Amino acid sequence: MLLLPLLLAGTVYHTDEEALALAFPEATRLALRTLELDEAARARISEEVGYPIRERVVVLHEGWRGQELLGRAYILEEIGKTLPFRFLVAIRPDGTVDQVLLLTYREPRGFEIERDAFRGQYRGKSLADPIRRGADIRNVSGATLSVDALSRGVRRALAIDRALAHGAGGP
Amino acid sequence: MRSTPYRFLLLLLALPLLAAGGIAVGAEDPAPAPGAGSDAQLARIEDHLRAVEEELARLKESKATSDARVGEVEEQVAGLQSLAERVRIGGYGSLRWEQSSLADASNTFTFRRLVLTTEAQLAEHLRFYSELEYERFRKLELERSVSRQDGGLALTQSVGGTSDSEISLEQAWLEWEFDPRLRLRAGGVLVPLGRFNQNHDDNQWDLTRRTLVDRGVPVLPVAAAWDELGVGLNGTFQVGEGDLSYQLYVVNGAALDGELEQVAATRSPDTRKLAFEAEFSPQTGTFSSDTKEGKAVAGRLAWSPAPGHEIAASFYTGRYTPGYLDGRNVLSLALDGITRFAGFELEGELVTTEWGGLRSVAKSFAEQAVFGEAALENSELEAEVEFELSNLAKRKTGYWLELRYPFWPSFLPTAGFANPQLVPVLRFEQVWFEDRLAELAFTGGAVTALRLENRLLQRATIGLAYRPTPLIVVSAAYEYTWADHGGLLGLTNFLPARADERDLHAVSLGVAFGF
Repeated sequence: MLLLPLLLAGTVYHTDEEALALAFPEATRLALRTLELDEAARARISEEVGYPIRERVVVLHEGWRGQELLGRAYILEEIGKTLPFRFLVAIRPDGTVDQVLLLTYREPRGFEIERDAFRGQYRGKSLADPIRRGADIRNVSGATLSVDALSRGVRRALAIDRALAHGAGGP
Repeated sequence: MRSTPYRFLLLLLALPLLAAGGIAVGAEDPAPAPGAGSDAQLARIEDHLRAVEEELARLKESKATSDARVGEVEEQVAGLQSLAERVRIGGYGSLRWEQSSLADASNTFTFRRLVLTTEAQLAEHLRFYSELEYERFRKLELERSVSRQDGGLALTQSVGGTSDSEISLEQAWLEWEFDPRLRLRAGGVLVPLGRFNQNHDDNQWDLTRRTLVDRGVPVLPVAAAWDELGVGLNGTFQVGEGDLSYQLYVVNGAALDGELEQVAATRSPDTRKLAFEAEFSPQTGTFSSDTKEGKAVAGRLAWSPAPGHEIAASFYTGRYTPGYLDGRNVLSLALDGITRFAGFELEGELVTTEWGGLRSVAKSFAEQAVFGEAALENSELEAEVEFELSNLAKRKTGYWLELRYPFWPSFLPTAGFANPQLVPVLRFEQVWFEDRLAELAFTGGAVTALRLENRLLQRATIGLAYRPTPLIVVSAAYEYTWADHGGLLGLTNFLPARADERDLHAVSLGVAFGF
């Protein structure tokens, strides 16, 4: 039983701290805020992503250089085929994706979504984009479910970010 | 030591007793002798206290038992959760309706296969995977009895089941991952020749019928899904933005093996017939004791410059003749790949297989089997035994190319699915037979007739698939299959073609699923 977390860890590409450092390499300060989403915000986010979201609380990471906000980041989870994987979505102040990093991945197939060439597809995406396999995201054979899951997750992060930017969420 | 809550509980229980005792004594004896009443009262209180203490001890024991039981249940639940996390059951399958222009093929529904998969994470870097296939399977029955009969013993056995059914272990292996670049895999492993055999799950493909190269002829030494018992290494290296992956296995290997067909027939006006036909053809190597000394080797090297693109080269070689025939090798080479451009997906595979020493194998087979056919007939019955060598050619070469265009028109409703897709598909396939063994006759251990022929078989398929979710596909397809000259008879392992049928039109509607 004690070994269970170890068995299920799968491939760990980055710890949370490493991922945040990669997301904001020029930051002089990282801030963390835990925010509660009210019902209106949750409804708005659910509408943006197309399904009811589970989150009631989100953890917002901010990268600052002096007084300048470099961006915001969210560490989320989605389920690939049967197992959850963890990823970070870094969002610029203008609401577009700066980068997506995979933190852990446990499925035996589909590790290709960790590759730069795949994750790079999300750079610059905003809620105005489909962010959908077959539309503006290329598929990876054998990893279709993970491709869909990551795309869904990126859209969720953007929707949460927009809701927070519009004043939703309170400590 | 008694805990504070219990002391408090005792006090609470004792107080009413003390009060009740006091009132009762006061009512019966308004002027009791000093000391006598107090002693009796004290004795009663002590009795009550003792009873309370005993009850409390019983309750505590009961609570401890309950706690232990709760702990056991919690442990069991945790164990089940752990099992559910570590062991995953899945599967895939397909069924279709098909209609063809062949005279002897009826339109039919076919439950093509149901495959159940099990994957278990046994330890941090140790996992097990298996696939158990039920192919066109519904029922298998065996009845056996021993009885006294006619002054002796009679053993009666009958086997019944559904036609064309098969149960097979498609994979069953244990893998130890030292590093993503080095994994040791042992067991029944898929032979890494070409790309279809590795990715044979029905729901991964947009057409429900498998390719000629991999299944219908096949050009692979054994039809997909082809697994062999052995051990080997695999791994993936990240090279720049891409991946370089390899597989290399040593396995028992495919070998000529016999299948016995029994025929019981009534004929008019001819005699009744009882026949045993032993057909020898290349089969998956044994999972028991190998019938030959030589082992086979298979490997694949694949380069993926970017996700979704891959090109690979693979090989398979090893002795295919059992120990009682001349030692000869089979060699297969394959190139395969997938790429994407402008919304299209192009995937393909080219395989060539050379069966070494075909003539000498035929001669050796004749020497061992001695008689190709032997029959004994009287006025009532003809009994026949026949030996046949089949599905061999000096060389078979074939390829398939598949072009797909996944899309979803915005005007169509999504019916609640997040990302449904329509996928028009074109598939083209060609297979060349060089010196295909068309006829072998022998008697007295000597070959009396050996006919080899060169043939070409082709098939074009056009289809449309609908994927409401990535794991489910519903498809419709039209296919045209034709041979260059002569008939389709004997060129495939699935078409019931007559000798004069040179081509066929077929349509199919199918569904494939995974979970």
